Amino acid sequence: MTSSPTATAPPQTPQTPLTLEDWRRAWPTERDDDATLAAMRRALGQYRRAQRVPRWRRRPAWVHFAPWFGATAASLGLALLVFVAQAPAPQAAETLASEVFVPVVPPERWASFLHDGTGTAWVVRTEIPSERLALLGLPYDPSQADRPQRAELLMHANGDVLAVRLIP
Amino acid sequence: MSFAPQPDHGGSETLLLLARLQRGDAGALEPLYRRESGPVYRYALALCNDTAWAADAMHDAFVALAANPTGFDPLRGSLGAYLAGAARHSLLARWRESRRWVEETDGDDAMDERADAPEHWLARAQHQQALWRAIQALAWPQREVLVLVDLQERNYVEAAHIAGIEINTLRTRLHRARARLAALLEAGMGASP
Repeated sequence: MTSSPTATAPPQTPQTPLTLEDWRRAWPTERDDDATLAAMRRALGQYRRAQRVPRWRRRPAWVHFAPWFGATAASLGLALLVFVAQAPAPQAAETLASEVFVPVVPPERWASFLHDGTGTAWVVRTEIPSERLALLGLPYDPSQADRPQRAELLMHANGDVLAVRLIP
Repeated sequence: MSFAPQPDHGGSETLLLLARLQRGDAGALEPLYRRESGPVYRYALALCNDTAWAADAMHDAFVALAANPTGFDPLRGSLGAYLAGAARHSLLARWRESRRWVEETDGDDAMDERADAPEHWLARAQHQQALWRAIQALAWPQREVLVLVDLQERNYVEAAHIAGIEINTLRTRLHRARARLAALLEAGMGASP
């Protein structure tokens, strides 16, 4: 309540209606009118000033919540760090690659890849004809030769297929 | 029955004044205020029976309109209803702050058979003073719907919108308010001390 009539004016003579007729005739006092109109003009002035500010310069509503969002994000980040620090050390990527994928390149080439780091290759999910499994040196069932086999290929950055993982 | 000046139910003149207000035209303030202040003030006065509080509630409602003229949507009701709702909000906030607020129940189903039309309880009132005193003795929710519908002659949709209740709730509450009023008048509650 900003500069309401009773906040700025001395106590008024009690005017509480005594009858229904009094209530029907009740009207704000002149002082009420003046105070309210003055406050309305001030409020409208602020509205006009806000309207004059270009839209791109107005603060978006989310700015008011930015500190809260920041604190929440920081808390979540801290919690994530603690979680990661307490988690068991991940298995070496090289070991995982060797266990999961079947190399289709010579052992030296595979060793070189592991030496350079698994970051030099990426996994591509695809479907390959079953008969191609033989070309890759993998066992396959000739009776299923016409059926595609779902697989993940470990592709080197130079385009070579380094290893294959069959997906059931 | 004509108890109070009728609020403007979205008249074109009011809409034009609002459009001027939304463009920031201060010249629209006073005409709008003069058109709507009386009913809003009387609505608040009937609820709180305190001229100072009623003036404050009316003040807050009009200042809120001037601070954000686009907050009123003519498609959702009349400007009078919008302002009355804002005044009600202000009154309730002040009531709660001052700890004078008491949740009052609509209760008293036994009174239902006395829930007559307003003309009947008006006829029963020996004089206007007794009637006013009886109205003031009603619980807030009942007094509010009685004032909105029977005294200010707002339609049910608008009254329910201002009071923030469903129309069926308003009907029930109004029925009980009338019954309670009749009982109070019969019991001499509104009689002069």
